[in-house]
Amino acid sequence: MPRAFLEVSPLFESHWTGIPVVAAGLVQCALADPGLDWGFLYENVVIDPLVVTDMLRLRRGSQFFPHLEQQLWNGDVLSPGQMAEAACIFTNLKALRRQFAREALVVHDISTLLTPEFHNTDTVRHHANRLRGDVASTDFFFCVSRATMMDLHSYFGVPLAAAAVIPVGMSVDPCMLTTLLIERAGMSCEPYVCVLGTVEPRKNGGIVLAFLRDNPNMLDKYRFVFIGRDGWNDEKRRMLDELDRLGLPTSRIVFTGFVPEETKMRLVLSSRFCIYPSFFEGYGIPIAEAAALGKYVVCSNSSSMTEVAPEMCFFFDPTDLLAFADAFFKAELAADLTWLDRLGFADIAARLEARDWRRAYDTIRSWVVEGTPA
Amino acid sequence: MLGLFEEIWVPCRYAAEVVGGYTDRPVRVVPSPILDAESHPRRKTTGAAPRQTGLAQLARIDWVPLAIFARLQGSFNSHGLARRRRLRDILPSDVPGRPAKIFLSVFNPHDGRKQILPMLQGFLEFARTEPEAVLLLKTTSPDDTNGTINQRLLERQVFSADTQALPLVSERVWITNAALTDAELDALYSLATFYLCTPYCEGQNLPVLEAMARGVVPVSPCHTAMADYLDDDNAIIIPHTLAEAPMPLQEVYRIWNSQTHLVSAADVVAALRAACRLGPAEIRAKAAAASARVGGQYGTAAFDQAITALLGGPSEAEAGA
Repeated sequence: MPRAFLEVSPLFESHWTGIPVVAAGLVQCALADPGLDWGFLYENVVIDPLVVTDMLRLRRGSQFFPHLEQQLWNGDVLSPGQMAEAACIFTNLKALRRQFAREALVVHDISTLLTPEFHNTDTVRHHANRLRGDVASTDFFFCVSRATMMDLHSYFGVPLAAAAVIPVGMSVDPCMLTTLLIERAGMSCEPYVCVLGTVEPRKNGGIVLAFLRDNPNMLDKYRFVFIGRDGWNDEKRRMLDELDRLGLPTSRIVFTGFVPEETKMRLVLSSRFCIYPSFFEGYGIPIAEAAALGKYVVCSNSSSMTEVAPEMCFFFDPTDLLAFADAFFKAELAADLTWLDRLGFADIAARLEARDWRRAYDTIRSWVVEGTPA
Repeated sequence: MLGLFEEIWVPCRYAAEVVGGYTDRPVRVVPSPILDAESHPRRKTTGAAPRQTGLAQLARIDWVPLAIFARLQGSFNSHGLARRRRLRDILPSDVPGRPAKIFLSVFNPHDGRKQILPMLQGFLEFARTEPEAVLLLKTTSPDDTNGTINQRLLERQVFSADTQALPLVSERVWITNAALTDAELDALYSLATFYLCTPYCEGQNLPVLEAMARGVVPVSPCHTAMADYLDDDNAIIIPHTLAEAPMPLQEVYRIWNSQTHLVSAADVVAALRAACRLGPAEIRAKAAAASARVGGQYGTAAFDQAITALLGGPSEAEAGA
C-alpha cells in the first residue's frame, strides 16, 4: 500500500476558517480511504490519527498542543529515511523542503504578496521570505481556484502542467442540517442580511456601511449581521468608528464575532440573502456555503470569487459603490421572487453532494498514487 | 589601518593568507597558547573512579534538555526547566572497557559562525540508533540562564527568515549555561570521549584545542583554523563543502556574496557513527595524538619565541652562544 503523509498543522488553529477548513476536508477523506497508508504530521512530528479524528469532530485543534508536545518528547518525529520513501502533501506552508520523495503544496492564495496593504507587516514578511523557497522545492501544486493557479503561474513562473485546481468542498453534518431546518420551520424572525467573512480590511466591510449611509431605509427593512471573527489591523474598531461617524443606528448592525459552525449555519439559513464584498480571495468558502444553503450572494467580482457559485451570485466591482447597490437590489428582488432561500433538506443535500470533498481528495490521491492528478 | 603596525600576528595560517592579501606588512602565525597544553598530556582512563570524581565535581550544575519548538517556545522553555537534571542522572552507566558515547561541545550561542543547526539535527538522527549516546552543550552566554538558553539557540542558531524552524526536542542533548570553575570544566572534559563542532569558519577554535589538550577526540570539519591541527590521526573529520554563506551569516557579518564552509546533517551523522565504531585502542591513539599535537604546536614556546623576536631579544645564535 502506498505510504504518504499529510502535513496538517492548520488543524491546530483554535478557529477554523479558510485554510484549516480545506485541510480538514482533505483529512476527512484521507481517514476514510483504506487504499492509502496516510500518516499525519505537524511539520515533522507524527500526529496520532485518533487525535486528528478528534480535531475533526470538534472542528478546532488548539487544545491538542499537549499531544504534539508529548510526541516531541517521545522523539516521534519522521526520520530522513522515512521521508525519502514517501510523498507528502503540505496543506499550507512547507516546514520541510526536498525531504520527501515527492512534495505537493496546497496553495490557497498569495494575497499577502499581491495585496500586502490588507495584512500585518509580520505576515507579509513571513510569506515573502518563505514562498519562493516553498515553490522552488515543490513538485506539484494543488490550487483552490483557477485564479490562484494563474497567480502562481504569473508571479512564480510555475508551469501549468505542474498545477491543478482542486474543487473545494463542503462538509455539513446531515443531522445538524435536519435539526436546523426543523428549527427554522418552527420560528419566524425579522428579515436580516448576512455579511460573511472575518472582519479584516481585505473583506471590504466598509462598502456595506457606505451603502447604508446612502440607503438608510435598508436598515428599517433588514438587520445587517456581520458573521466572522475579529481579524487584524483593527478593522472592527475602524468600522465601529465609521458607524458612529455616520450616525447609523448601531442596534440594526450586529457583529457576531467568531461563531461555531452550527450557529453560523443557523444564521445563514434564516437570512434573506448574503453579502461577500471582499477585495481579494484565494477561493471564498463562505460564498459556496451560502449558495449551497440556497442563499443568493451579493458578491465581489474580483480574483477567485466568480468561480465559486456564479449561478447564485450577483457580482459587483468591490471598489464601486453604485455597482454594489445594483447587485444588492437584484439579490433582494431574486430572493423575493424565487423563494430559494427556503430550500428544504433534499435540495440542500443535493447541492452539498455536488460539493463533496471527495472530488478534491481524488485529484490529490491520483497524484500520490499515479503521479498525475485525476 | 594594517599599515600602522610593524608586524601582524594572526592565530592560524588561513587568517595569515586572508590578512596577507590586504597588507604589505609581515603577517605571522602566532596562535594563542593553550596554557594547559603541557599539563594535560593525557588524563583519560577508563573505569569508574575518574568518572565518579568528574560527576562529583559537577554535582551542583543543572542541565536542561534541548527544547526548541518555535510555535510554543515559551512553554518549551518551561518544559526544559521542569526537566532539568544533574549529570549523574543523565549519563548512561559506565561499562568497563567500552568507550562512553559522550560528546561535548562548548560555544557561545550568540556566535553566528558556529553552525549549530546541522550539529543538532545530525546528532538527533544519530541518536535514534545509538541509545547510549549523549551530547552535552556547554554554552557561554552572559545574557542567558538555563531557562532562556533554548530560546537563545532558536533565535541565534536555528531561526532563519526563509525557512520554517523545525522542532528540536530531545532528552539526549543536554545544555548548561552555568559558569564553570576551571576544576568543573576539567571535570566536564574528563567525562567526554569526543568533542563535536561544526563551525562555518574559525580563527583558532580554542575550545576544541582545549578539549584535545585533555585527550578528548575531536569530531570536526577540517578547514580554516582547524586545518592547522586536525587530521585523520587525531580526529574524526566531518566533510564540508564551500558554498554561498547562508543569508543570516551574510547579514550579521556583512559578508555579502561570500562563500563559507557548510556541513550537512547527514555528514554529521556519518562522522558520529564513525566515532562510535572506534575501539578503545583507536580512541586512545587518537586522543594521544590530539594531546601531543596541542602540546607541541600550541604550548607557550611558540608564543615566547614570537615575543622575544619582536622585542629584539637574543637571536638563536646568540642564545646558543
